Amino acid sequence: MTREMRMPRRLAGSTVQALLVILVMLFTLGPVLWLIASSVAEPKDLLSRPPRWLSWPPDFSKYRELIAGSGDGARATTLTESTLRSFRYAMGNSLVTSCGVTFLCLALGTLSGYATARSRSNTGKKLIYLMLLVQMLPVVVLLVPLFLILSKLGLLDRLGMVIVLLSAIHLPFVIWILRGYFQGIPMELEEAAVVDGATKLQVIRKVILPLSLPGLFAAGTYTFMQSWNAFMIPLIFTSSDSTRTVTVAISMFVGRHYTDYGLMSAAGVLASLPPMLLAIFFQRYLLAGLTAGAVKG
Amino acid sequence: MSYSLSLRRHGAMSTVFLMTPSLILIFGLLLAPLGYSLAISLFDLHATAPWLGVRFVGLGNFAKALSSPAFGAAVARTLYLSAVGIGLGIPISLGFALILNRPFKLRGLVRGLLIVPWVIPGSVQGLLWSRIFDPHYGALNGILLQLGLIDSYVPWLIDPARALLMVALANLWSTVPMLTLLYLAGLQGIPKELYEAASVDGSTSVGSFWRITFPLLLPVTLITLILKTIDAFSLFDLVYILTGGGPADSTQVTGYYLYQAAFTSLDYGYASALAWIIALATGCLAFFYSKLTRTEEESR
Repeated sequence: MTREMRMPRRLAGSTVQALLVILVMLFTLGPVLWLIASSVAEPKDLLSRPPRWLSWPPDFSKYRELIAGSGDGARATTLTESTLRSFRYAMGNSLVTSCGVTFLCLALGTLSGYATARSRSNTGKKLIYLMLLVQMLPVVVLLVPLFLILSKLGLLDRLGMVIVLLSAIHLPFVIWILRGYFQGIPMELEEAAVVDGATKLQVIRKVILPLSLPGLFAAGTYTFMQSWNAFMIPLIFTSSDSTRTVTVAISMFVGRHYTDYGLMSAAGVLASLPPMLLAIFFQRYLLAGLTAGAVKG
Repeated sequence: MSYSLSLRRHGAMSTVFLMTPSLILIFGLLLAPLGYSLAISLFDLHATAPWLGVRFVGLGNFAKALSSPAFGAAVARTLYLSAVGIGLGIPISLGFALILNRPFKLRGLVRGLLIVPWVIPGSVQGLLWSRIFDPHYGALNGILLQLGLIDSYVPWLIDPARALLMVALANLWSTVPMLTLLYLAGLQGIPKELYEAASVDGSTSVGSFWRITFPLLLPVTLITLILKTIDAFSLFDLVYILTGGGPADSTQVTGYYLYQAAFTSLDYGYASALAWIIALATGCLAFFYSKLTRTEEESR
């Protein structure tokens, strides 16, 4: 084969490859791009048939309404205003919940992960397998008993309870990820610290934690995202504007047969933003942690 | 004094001590309720008619569930959901992985973007797909009409015969990219020498796929199969937002059926029995899963 013949063929190959990659990206991102486009579209473009895919220039008024409240006096009906307010509240609740769950899971997960990583006996490993088995059960199984118990104790509709519940649900996986990272740390480092007079908790804080930052990032990002995205638990265990999380608030947007599509789309984009930013920021750790967790079990 | 030795490998006591907070949380909020749920499942709590009191019904709730045509239909729908997820999801994501495994510009970026659908909250996915399937202003109708594939707008979610398929497709969208990443990780673990040896032996690329790639990716595929089925049994948010189980119960999958039994009909005993049946079914799957991954870990 001569050189002149090979060039066009390679070019054709890379064009096909590029087209295939574009296809994959269209599948993956198409729906999201459309959501973003409709969040900044003119209202009349959203209601045109066939749709106008891109309205230019982008109109950010929906975001302004969601973040700062509708300044527009004519549009500020009570319904819109209360929807907007409860959405803002819900964003705050989700942030508090996700940060709380992440903190709790990392703190408890570190202790347990360390314990099982350095355990001579098989107890820790057995406990972990038991926990993972429990975690694999669908959350729905827990809903009825938890609902009955918590309503009897008067603990329904409390954000703190949602935090504790979500922590319990995600803790086993966090322990599992962290245990893997801790096992990779050579014990000689810990021994050196012990010789210098460190206690076991000091060893964890000063030696183990700094060395397993990637694992903490992976587990933390995972936990934050899972608790931000949680739906069933907050749906059932919260009932008022002051405790509702953003995922539940979003479901009410749809359920109300709300026709302000622009506002709906903008709310969807805003609700996806925190986990998205976190995932982009910690992507490297997240992918490593998840594929390790998923492939190795 | 063997302090350093005791640090090296501490015993069961120390393990349990460090694990106490986690164990309290997990056993208190996961395992104890699980047991309580088993107890509830043996009773009729009469939550809607409290004057009737609590009545012990033994395995009555289980019998009711197993003989209920509505539950049977919900299970069938769930299996349909996972069948679509597996039947379409595995070939599509394997294809995507093969495409993305070849060298091209911006490969890192493209792979990174694969996690986008997975990161989007389930409820936002519900909102997104309700917009896409909207009968009057939805994107799907718009695209298909502009491509000339349909003559008039189709009410995707209003037709009971089609709604479940639409839910399955919406669900597919968020799972395919994640599966693609799993397959990509699997592909990277296959030594290049195998393909070189095969091509020296005159194997075509299709032949190499069936004889090398596919068998070596089988563990990932099996794991996917099990996890997809478990996922289908707990799918809830997408259904809740997109269809609310309708129209005419046509998208009432097990997760939603259970939710309704518990929190709409307030039939706590029956709902607990349902939950246990689902838990046992998925528990068996999870057991196979852990067996599968553990033998894999040991064979390393």
